[in-house]
Amino acid sequence: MNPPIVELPWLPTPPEDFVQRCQALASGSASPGLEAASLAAFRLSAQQSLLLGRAIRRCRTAGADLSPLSGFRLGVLASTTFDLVTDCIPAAAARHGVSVEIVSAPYDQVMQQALDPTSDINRGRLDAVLVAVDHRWLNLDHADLASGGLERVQSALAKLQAVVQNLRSHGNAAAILQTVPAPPQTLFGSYDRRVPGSVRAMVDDINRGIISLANETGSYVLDAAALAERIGTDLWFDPVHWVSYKLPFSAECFPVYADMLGRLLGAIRGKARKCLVLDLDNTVWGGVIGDDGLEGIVVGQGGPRGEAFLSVQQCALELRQRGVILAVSSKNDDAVARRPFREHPDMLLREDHFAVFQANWIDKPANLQAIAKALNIGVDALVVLDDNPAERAQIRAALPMVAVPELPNDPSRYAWYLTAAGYFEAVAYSTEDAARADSYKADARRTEVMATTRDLGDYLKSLEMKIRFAPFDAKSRQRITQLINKTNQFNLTTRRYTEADVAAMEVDDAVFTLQVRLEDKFGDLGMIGVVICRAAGDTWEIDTWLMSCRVLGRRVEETVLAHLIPAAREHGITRLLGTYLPTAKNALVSDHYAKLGFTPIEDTPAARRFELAVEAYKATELPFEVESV
Amino acid sequence: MTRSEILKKIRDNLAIAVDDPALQISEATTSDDVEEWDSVNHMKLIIALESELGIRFEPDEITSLADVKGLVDLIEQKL
Repeated sequence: MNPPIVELPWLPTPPEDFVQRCQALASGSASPGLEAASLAAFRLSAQQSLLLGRAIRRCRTAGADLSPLSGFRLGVLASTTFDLVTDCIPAAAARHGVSVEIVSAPYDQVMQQALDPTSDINRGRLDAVLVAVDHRWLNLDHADLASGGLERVQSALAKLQAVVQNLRSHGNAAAILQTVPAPPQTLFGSYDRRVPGSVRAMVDDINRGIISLANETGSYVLDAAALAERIGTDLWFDPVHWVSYKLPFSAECFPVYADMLGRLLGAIRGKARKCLVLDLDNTVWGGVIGDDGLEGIVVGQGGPRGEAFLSVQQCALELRQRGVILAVSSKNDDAVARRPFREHPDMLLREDHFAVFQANWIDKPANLQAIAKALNIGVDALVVLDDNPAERAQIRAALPMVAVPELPNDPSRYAWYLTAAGYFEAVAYSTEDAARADSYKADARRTEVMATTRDLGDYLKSLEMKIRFAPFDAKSRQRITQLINKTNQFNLTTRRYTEADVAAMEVDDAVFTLQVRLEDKFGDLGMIGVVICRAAGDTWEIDTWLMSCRVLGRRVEETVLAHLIPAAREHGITRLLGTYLPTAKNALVSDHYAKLGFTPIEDTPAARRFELAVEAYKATELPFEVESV
Repeated sequence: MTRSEILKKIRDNLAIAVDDPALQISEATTSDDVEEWDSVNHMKLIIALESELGIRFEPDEITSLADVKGLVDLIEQKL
């Protein structure tokens, strides 16, 4: 059996002084966001989660800056007594990079709150609303053999659809729908699945319907059914607490449910991890390559230990195929560490799979910083798989934002720990994601070219860049939303929008939208920029201008402006108004508009504003082939 | 577990439920004496005690437990 997921076994045990640290956080900390994230990274019980959640709330109430956590306003619409679950959510969200503020509807007011335009939920300016209903609220808690259940399922879906649509139209909030766990009782036994109208058959049907509804409405999905299934529905459901308190499921499951929701909020905010860093000896193969040699290490079919390490490699490889970047950090001589990847016939992982390979004798935290720097990502995007508890502790102490799962002794369980922790949660998946691991490797090669070319202009020309401009469209909507929500550095205003907001902009005549894609001779970089302009008279206010940091120093921003100018003229616009709203992460672009020739018109700590008369723009030659839709 | 140890467990968990770290109670305390000891916080207390002590209360027992002495008695029986 696997370890019980309800105990969050990949997280380290909280320190003795956990309660004191929560109190210290509540009464004022130098970097409250970082301290909250560090405290959240432990294996917290429901009570400990509540204490930390309260401390975070006090920080927020006191007006503290909780960065690097991203803010999120979450509504909770529950058909059951949800208070104890809600208590666990802020700590779990902090674990995944989010500072969540919760607006809860009273018990069992789901429909009323959704339909009433003036309800707390609809007036809460919420980023998303968790619709926490189960088979009971959906009227699927008893069999409907007479009529076969079809109408029952359809009317349940219609209820959900009404909730989703009203949340959108009254509160402009996205819904988080959850799948429905099937209660364990059977009526016929194994035959239940074959009887239309049995609870099991109806729950199967509604779960398919919920996924379709989410796809159609741009809602998020929390797969509660999958969580209940892996926990076991006999443990998930608690009939005593249901009749006594109307608790939605067993109290033991509250922290892990909250963690799963936290992952989803993190993914919505672009906080999911991006890169898996592997230790080598006794993590991807058995033994120590420097001591045991190529013949001595254990990996491959034919024995339990060799197959166990193979399963770790298989897991890493599958993650890479969906876009997770792989890197190596190992205490080894470089040439020695590379040998198994080059010469061992049973290795699944090859050198080619890694974007960065750090095998040396420098301490691991320094290596991890180097990896993050080479990939141009934050250390908070790294997950480190390392069998050595001392190394794990050292990394956590030096770099608390790096995720380092605990590991058991047996390597056959490593992949379970790595995946159960939910570091790489996603709310969308595109072909660009799949290509990301390769594209980061191409970045490394571009850097090599840079080193052999002396002149920047020559370098840029040698890249043979093709830039493509297009307005927002349905097929790019997910990627646009992803960029809007996860871009922190090259982001002038850091305004976040949901997929539905983006869809609305596609058809809004007062909004000019731009998606920017870039390709060079090393490969397709995909979508690398988003611009949103809002018309006000003869002025375009640049609401959003963000770009991927990977294209810094390539004059992309100048090319974007060169594209905006004629577009503005076509729309009868004579003036562009640019705003820079400073955050902890976007100092990089504080002079963005000044560099582009805009004139400063306002400069306060909260905002800097610039303007550019369309007629005053001077065109220059830029190293791009431009394609415009 | 002695009665005073049980009392301390109740105090610690009730203190968290009502969000008053300095809360003081004795066996004579009832829910009327603690302002925030309402039905939701009572539920929080019961669930926390169940998970911490590895015991379960019957539905009938739970509703009638808004005094500390009764709670100590019941836990003593269950341990």
